[in-house]
Amino acid sequence: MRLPAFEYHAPTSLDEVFALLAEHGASAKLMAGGTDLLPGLKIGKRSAGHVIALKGVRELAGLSFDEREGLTIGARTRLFEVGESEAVAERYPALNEAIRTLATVQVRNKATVAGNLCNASPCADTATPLCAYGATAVLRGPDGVREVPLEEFFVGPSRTAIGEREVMERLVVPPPPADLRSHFIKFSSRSRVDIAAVNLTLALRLEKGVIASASLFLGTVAPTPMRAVEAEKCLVGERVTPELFERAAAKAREECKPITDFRATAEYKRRIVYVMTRRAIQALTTEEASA
Amino acid sequence: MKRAIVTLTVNGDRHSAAVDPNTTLAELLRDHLRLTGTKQGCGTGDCGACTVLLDGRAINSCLTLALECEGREVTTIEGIALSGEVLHPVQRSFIERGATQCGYCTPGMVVSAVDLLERNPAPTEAEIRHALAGNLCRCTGYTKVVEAIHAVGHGEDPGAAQGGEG
Repeated sequence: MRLPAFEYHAPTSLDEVFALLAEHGASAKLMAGGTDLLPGLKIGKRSAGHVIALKGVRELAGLSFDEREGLTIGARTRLFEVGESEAVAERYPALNEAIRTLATVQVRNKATVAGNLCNASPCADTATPLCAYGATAVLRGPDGVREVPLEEFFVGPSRTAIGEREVMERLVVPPPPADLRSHFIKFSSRSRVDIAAVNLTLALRLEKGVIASASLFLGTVAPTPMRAVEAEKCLVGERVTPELFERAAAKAREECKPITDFRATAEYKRRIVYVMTRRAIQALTTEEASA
Repeated sequence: MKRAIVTLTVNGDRHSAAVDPNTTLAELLRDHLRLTGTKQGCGTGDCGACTVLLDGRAINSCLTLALECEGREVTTIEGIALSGEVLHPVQRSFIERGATQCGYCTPGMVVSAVDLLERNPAPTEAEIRHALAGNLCRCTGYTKVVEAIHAVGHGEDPGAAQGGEG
């Protein structure tokens, strides 16, 4: 399968990128790892007269964590780098879990977190963990920089808040509270490789056996990754019991808005959301539940 | 399209080639450099038949532009053997344990296995299956492939698989 014809540009600075975007407009496509763009071009799902490679752009480099600033993921950072980060495994385990089973080793060695998010599939595996951890997308354009909470970054399937001349520069994730518990679950036909039929991330904190805070983000069951607000309300302030798990899971099942597609029917996705929400709460509260 | 020269190291040798911007690394290796060990299967990054190492990491060469590889190092299946006469232990193990049938997935499997063993010298079966998830095989059902890699990781003599017969 051959790629259609395009021109290739390898800028080394954001100013060069902005100039290329201004010159070529809608026919210019940004490429980070290329693992979504290139297959898309091959099958005719996407088109590009100009491919702008971002991997040499110096402002987009960097992966760092410290206790005050939290986690910074430069837009060039590849999935494997985040996946191999000890700081991420320890402090943001749901993100580590999401990356470990995303696509394949070969794809993870090339694809980027930023690209996964900017592609804006509601199924994006890195989306729900980063939303649950309160990440912010830092977007830079020729006129300056703006920050968009990741929860508000996704506008629709394959559509984001990024302006025509903007580039995602980095993601910033605040340092999580020491007692934050978090879990990512993905359901797909095959145990590996497949894009999720359903995925979700739950993050919660307990104080003396009572749920003090809860963040539940569901992927694949709405036009964008969605916050399961009703399920969260149902959990906060409650003691942990099996009956609570079922109530919260039922809320998540009601409030999600899946469509039937080739991966699963809407009814099946709702059922899986119920099961996975229940399992996620169970997984994070095993001590309290058995007390 | 505007052709450009790309210079890269492949299996230790420096090469320069004039390529179109839309030439993939797989096409550069197979068509320009005549290194046809790397196969084209799906073209979309699902089957792994095109797997090579780029700066020491397994990637799909069908999803990599040749021009992206400027100044970088590529290792293909042709560069895996330890020398002209001596196969890599993974290659020997595949042969001895019948992990190859039609052979089409084998270059990708071997490259992925070599990448895995570099990072995790004694992987468990589960770790092998996880790491090789991006390499599909229609012939073997994967059992012998996994055994062959496991054997290398755990120092098992491939000759023993034949019950000691020569």
